[in-house]
Amino acid sequence: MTRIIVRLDVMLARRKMRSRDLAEAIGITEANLSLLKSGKVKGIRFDTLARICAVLDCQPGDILEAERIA
Amino acid sequence: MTSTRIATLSGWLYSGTTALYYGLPLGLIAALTPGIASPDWLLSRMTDLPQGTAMTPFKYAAVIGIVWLALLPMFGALSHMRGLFRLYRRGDILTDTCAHHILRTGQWLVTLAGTSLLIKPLQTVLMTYDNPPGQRALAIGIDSSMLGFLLAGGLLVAIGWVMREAALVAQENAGFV
Repeated sequence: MTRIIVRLDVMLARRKMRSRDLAEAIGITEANLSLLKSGKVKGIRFDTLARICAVLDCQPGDILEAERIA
Repeated sequence: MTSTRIATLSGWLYSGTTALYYGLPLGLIAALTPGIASPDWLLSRMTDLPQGTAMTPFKYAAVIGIVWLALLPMFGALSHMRGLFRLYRRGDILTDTCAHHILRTGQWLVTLAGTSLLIKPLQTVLMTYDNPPGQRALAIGIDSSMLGFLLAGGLLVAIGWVMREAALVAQENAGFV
């Protein structure tokens, strides 16, 4: 079985950006961004993903990783 | 914009249904008050009874009781309508609780159509059961309000079921960012 891990914290640290600023820039609440970072969401819309990548200047693969679990 | 107009309209409708919920019993009592002093007043309002039908205290109480029982579904419907408008007023629109209120309102309206149909037959049988043979009556009446309640109730039942599905979809969507 495979699960998706969100590496948003790592990218935020690399870009030296706060969660609050990213949330405001992409137009979602800080609470939702926190849920996304912790992987407690059912999914992410392409639109949201595109905005995150635009603000953080990265690729989807930089913030999403597929991990095989036993 | 949509949420604002829903909240605004629901505020008004909540006030309206609340006024009706508490005002309807008072209005009914006021309408029936003349009969308390003179039970024959009620007899004069029931024009489809045979000549010579007598009014007794038991018949009077039973006829009034039938009216109250038949209107109970109306209070059930109003109660759920108030609950629905209370939720809409504060912005909870696509939830299972809202769907439940819509469904129950519809079911109560369908029930009201049924009880309304029973008022006239029950009252005429009750009023004439002690009349001589040949002067007993059973009256049945169907009017547009009964059909209206039946159709509106059926519509709300269907919409309630659909809203249950919509609430599930909304809940699923809420898990996406």
